Amino acid sequence: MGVASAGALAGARRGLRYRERQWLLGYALIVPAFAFVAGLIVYPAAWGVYFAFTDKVIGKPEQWVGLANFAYLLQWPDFGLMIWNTILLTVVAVAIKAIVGMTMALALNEDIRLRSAIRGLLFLPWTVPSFVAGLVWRWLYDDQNGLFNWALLKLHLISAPISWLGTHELAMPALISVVVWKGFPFFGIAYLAGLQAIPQDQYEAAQVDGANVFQRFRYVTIPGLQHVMLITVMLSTIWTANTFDLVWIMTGGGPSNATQVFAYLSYVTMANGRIGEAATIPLMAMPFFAALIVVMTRYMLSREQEG
Amino acid sequence: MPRGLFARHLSRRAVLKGTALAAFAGLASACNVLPAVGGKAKLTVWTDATFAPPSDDYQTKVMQDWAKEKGVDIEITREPGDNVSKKLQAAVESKQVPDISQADDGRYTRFQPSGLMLDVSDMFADVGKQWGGWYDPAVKLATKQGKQMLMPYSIDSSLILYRKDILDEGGVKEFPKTWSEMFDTVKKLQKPPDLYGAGFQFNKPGTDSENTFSMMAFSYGAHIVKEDSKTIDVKTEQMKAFLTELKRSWDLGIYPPGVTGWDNSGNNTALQDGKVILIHNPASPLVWFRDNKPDMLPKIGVSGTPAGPTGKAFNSAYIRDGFAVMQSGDQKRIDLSKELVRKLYDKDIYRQWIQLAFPAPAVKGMEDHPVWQNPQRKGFLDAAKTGVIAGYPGEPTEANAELGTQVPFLTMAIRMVVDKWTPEQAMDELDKVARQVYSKYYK
Amino acid sequence: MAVSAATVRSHAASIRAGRRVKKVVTYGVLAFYLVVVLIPIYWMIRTSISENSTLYGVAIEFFPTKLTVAQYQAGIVRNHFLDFLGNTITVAFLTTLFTLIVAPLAAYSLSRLRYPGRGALARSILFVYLIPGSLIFIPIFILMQRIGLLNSLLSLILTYQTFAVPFCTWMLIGYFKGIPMELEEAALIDGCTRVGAMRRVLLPLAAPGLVAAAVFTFTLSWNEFLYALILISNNSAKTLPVGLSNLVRGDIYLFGPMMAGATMATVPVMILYMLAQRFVVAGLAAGAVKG
Repeated sequence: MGVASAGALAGARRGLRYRERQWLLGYALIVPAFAFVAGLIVYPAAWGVYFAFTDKVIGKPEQWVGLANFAYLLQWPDFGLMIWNTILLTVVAVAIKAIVGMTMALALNEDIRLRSAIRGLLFLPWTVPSFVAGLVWRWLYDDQNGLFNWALLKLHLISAPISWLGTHELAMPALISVVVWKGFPFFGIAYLAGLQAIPQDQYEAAQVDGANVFQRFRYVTIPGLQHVMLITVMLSTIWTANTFDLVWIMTGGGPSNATQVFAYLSYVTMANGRIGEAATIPLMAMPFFAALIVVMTRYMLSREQEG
Repeated sequence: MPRGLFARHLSRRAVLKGTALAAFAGLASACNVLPAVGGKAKLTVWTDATFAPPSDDYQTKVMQDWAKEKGVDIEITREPGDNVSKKLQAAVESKQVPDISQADDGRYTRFQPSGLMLDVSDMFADVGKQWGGWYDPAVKLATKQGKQMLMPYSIDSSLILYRKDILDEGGVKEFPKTWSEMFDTVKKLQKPPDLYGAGFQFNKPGTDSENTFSMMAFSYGAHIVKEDSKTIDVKTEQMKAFLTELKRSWDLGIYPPGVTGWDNSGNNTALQDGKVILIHNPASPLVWFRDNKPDMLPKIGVSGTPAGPTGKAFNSAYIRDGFAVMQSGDQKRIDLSKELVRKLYDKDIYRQWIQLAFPAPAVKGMEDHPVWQNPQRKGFLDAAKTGVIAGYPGEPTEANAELGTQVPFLTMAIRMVVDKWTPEQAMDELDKVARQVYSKYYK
Repeated sequence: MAVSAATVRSHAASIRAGRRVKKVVTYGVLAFYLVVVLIPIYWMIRTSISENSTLYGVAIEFFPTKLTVAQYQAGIVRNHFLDFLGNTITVAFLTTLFTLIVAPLAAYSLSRLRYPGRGALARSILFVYLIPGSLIFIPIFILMQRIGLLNSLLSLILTYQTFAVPFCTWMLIGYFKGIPMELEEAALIDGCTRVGAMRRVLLPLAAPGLVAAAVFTFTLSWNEFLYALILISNNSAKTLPVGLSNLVRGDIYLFGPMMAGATMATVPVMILYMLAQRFVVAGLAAGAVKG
């Protein structure tokens, strides 16, 4: 029994055909959003896709080069490393953000002291402009006057400063730590809002049935949150994979290419005015993300009814 | 469904709606939301925010005073170089450009082919006559196909900035002549982990080092192209000798551990914090010391870039500030823009600006300026006279500019010290990349 | 009997112990997160109230010894931070307002109604996210120039819709889907129209989600940098993130005023979020009556 049957009743009462009414309403409601977005993005998107197949450089007429830009990228010696870095950064950062966000939301949903203040404070990283966050963290990680090295030296845990951002092994974890720091409030706040919408009586009912904490989490919290979880993970995956500002400020893809990722390479290429090659890079990643979107949204769009 | 349950929500929403509408009306009327319509034509100027803010403020004031006198509206946007470059990309591509744009020679090489930078050859000749001629690098960098589309204003360079006090203490009377001597000297004087020998970046965002390492390579007789500006000539014995010596300096342990993660501010802060003996940089740390640690300023020595094994030394020279009058399609605005740029070369204005900013002027007639009695600034004037320009030993070509964005010399250095490649491997990669880039321009 | 009473007692004790463990874990987790979150924030604020001469050097001062308001003065007087802040507020507020008009309608349509092409429409809105702003800022500039909106905040408000609407729409689909349909069905049977049921039943129940989506949209537009840099050239319409970037002077970072500006940019948003949360909690308390 879904909306369909209830709607059918209402439709039948008004003597109108239910299906067409629903179609019309559906289209009418989506038109403003779709028109807004499509109107603004169709031209820029076509612009970008077209130039990916040309040798376009800022201020000069372009020539069609077919797949030459793709071929050039593929033969780049660090291409494989870049793909690996992008996947590593995205998967690890999103996983940590989701776990931290979930625990934060669960803790803040409890009846605790100073809840409002703590909620506000934990939201702070999300409100700091990216490049300021990048600069502050860069400073904290600095090998000369960074707080972390200063503290570790003071505590005699190390004898010489550690080059957090300058070594192959540490640069990526350091970068991930900043991406997580900046992004976890998105998960935490989104989950908290989802938790607040789960009716308290569902928990009480589960408790009466003898469900323990983990069972309540599994059978009440997760079902109530699953759509929000899916959408946050999907959005955050796309954002994280497209992170260029924090990479730019923290490491610039270095040392060597240890933190080089798709989005930053595209950004740098664009900054150097080579539009053709810069446009090719996101286009190469697009099939992967498109597949991700299709898979993750299928579940959200197809389920007519919740269990 | 009992309606009453939602009465409170509805009323809350009604209140919210009211507030929102009121706020919208208030904000929308705050004029910036909608574009300004009509009004008299405005001159727009895009300029760079430099490391010497007083010189920026002075220039802005000169422009505003001129505009007031002329009864012209003027909008001066001053942004960091990266920002101006990005704005220019969009502006040039849409042909909606500012009336005057500041450009260094890299930006000039990249944006001039669009045809939106107007011919200012007459003004160039006129100013040259007034000031007794232009320095060589200014002429070479500003001239394309026999014309000038850029008015050079300053020539800057990177020099060695070093701790004179530490060299004195170590009994080093004169700054070492060659790269090898310099590396060995600082190796002796350094006291890691508190004080390291040299602060050169081995990281791509640290583009200062591209300048450093290319000068070192030139002094070893190495280069990317031959004099014809077209023939790639990377894989030479000289290049190998340069790379081998650079690798040796790394193995000496004279660089702080973080240099592989530094950006362009890394070497500045290292010198400012007293963590390194020397860096290779434009004058920005001197400005910083003057404003923040004046007692340290006299302890900083400035030396020309060291020489190679044959005794030949190279300093870079580039146009840091230059002005392009751009195609607005409105002859009146173009004429006014030229007038404003010309104004900046007035005797007193130009001299005062040089006093406040730190680079050398692009013209010869200012060598009597008292600032050159300061030995810290004198070196920058010498570099302006004799420095080598982009594209050495050839011309500053577009191909060279494109390859330059990939920081070729710095990349070789990084390959050796971070990725542990051999000099041969690093050279091989550059050879391949250079050929690939040049093949786009020279078929 | 006695055995059973003992079982009950031990059961009660284990519940109490469980509660205590839960409390310790809850506070422990939050304390840990707070420390990690606040170290960089503290560094930012500390820098904004320290004198320049103490910001660099061999000795790091964790607790600043020489306090000053000079950095804020420099930010406000020299760098016009208050003007930029006003513009930023205007843009973020209006962007959020526009988005909150169109996105809930779209989300309702996509999560509650069935019609041909729904999936394609829903996904195509999301595909916008695959086109990076770092690539298309030039065509956006060209577009805004053609429609004559360059140098106006409206150009930003419109451009921000390209990320705000897809974001908000999909966040709301997530929240709407989490709300059981029975309540709306009841309203429909009672004679409500669909739009009426959405307005009176769904939206109030989804209030926490709406507020969260609004807060995120607000902060996304609040912190946007690239479009704001490209589309605005006159100082009177600049936004704060661009203003902050102006404190990078070549290879010198003017950290003092920059961190003062960052603090000014950050704290209002936090307060806004706390107020919004209060609104949600009040809304939930009111809604709980029906439970």
